[in-house]
Amino acid sequence: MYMIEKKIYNCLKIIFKNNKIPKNIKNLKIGSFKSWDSLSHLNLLLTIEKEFKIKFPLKKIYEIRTIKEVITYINKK
Amino acid sequence: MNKICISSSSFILSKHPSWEKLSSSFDLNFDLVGNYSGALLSKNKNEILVCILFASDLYDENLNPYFNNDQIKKICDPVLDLIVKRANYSKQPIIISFSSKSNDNLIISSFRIPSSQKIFEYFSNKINFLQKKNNNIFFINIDNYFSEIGYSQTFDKRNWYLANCRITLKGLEIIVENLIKILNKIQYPSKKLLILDCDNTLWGGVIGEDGINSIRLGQDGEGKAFADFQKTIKSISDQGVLLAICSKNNEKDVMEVFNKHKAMQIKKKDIINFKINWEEKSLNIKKIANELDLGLQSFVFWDDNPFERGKVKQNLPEVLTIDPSEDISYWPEQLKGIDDLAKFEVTKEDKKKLYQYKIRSKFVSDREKSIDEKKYLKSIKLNAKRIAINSSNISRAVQMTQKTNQFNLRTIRYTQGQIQKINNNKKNIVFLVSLKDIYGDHGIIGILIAKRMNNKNLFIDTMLLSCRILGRNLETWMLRELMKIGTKIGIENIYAEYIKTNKNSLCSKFYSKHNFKEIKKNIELKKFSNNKSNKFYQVKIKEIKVSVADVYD
Repeated sequence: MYMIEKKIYNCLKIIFKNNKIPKNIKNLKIGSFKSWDSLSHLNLLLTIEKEFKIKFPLKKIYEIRTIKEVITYINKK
Repeated sequence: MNKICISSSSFILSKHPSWEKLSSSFDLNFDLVGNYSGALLSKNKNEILVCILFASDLYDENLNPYFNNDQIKKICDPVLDLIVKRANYSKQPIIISFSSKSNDNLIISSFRIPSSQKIFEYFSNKINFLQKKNNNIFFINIDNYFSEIGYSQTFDKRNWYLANCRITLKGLEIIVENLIKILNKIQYPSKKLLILDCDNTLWGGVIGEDGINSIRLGQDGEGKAFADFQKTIKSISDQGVLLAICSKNNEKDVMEVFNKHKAMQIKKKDIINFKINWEEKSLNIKKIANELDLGLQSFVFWDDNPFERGKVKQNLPEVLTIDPSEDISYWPEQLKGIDDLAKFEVTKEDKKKLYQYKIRSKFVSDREKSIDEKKYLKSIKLNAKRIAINSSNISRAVQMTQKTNQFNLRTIRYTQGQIQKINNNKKNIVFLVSLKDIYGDHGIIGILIAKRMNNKNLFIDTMLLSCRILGRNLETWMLRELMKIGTKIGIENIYAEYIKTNKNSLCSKFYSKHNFKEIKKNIELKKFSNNKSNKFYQVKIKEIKVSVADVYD
């Protein structure tokens, strides 16, 4: 697992404590778990921001729905 | 588990795991975003209320950030009114976390006071005023704590436009952290005694080797730091925390410093108990506990030596042993930061406490010498007085019902509002007791509340005495006073109850000693006590045995 994915995996574990997080997280997105609603999604993105010390701009943050998109954004940075 | 309702003026990331630190010890409920007014008006009396308020939610900061005083009033007063309503409705704590941060323009702010600042001043002044009447209002100026790491780390405009949330995750962590501190303080009693080492704690160097002229205290550099640390200790003791010394030294050497060193900020009279010898510190600390009649869990131990600390930690885990920073420069801050030592409210009585504990230890040792107790009590010129409750002493009355454990027959905890209400009902008999004797003025140390059941009967609702003045038959004197008042207004019987707790076995025989007879609970009594399986008593007012109160004549 790449460093980035590992870090995101940890963020997922923090927010979705009660779910089993699959090894391959790339395909995960809003709705993947029952508790992954828009509120948890926000919490997840804020936690990822803190972990990577980045900030998704307002415009971008609405577009990010999947972990794949998160990874793409972080790689671009 | 205590219930807490958390409300806020904007979104506070309610589902975020940061809140778990609180939800592990409290039952958390989040009100709807922005519904702090609903929360303050809630009919639920039994939950602690937390209001997280951002001034910028109370007005539109983009429109006009420079309000006049009238506009400020219009913004703040509705919220303040709700807080007053809640404080009067429920005795449960109301914790207000307040931020007045806004984006002010430097140039304009340099000649006009920005609204954020005016709002903070107005709001905090009003709260401060309310706190004088209501001891269940707690105010956190959260900006103080945000500013430690900076607003750029704690606020984020993007979160505002994204989710109506003013703060960042870091900001949320700070809010939660501060709430925990306040809530813990509400739940757990504070520490009463700070035990200090001497060498390299109160001064730099070893007195037994360096001598009084070479220890570092008061001079520039390290000496100044030690003097400042002592000043901090002094300020804590002024708030009612007791001080004791526990050091491995020759007593003569340490006393020389206390008596002669000009830079000593702490004086001999500030210390309630000295243990200067070569015995184990844990043994000495246990002795202090016995002599002062205080529990180890109310002790804080401060020693620069990790070895001594380690042994105390191991032998007396109940004592809070502090690990002071390596660098003494940070000690004053660290000491002030011990939240367990901080008090919510310092009453006049707290300030007198040191003096009174000293009186107590002298009283105990004098009493041991005395053979004829009655003769002895006569000789100390006891002078007790009944005092009516008024605005200057009601907080003391409340404090006593909240804190007295040992000599407390029913241990009913009251809030200021409740006491006020009982006192306003002129049918009830309510009085405080103050005491003087040759050992000094003990201040207000007892309260008696007797509720009127009907024309002929009274029920003793509250009867308590501070344990530091026990052994003076004052409890009997109180009953005698009740007899006097009762007889005047035609009372024939007095009913009473003893509710057993873990701590009040001391007074379990109190009523039988005074000729009260145990009875079964009846319907009348049910109105005054809804406890099961407790002891009820009855006595004809003329038959109460009060002869031992003669020592007061």
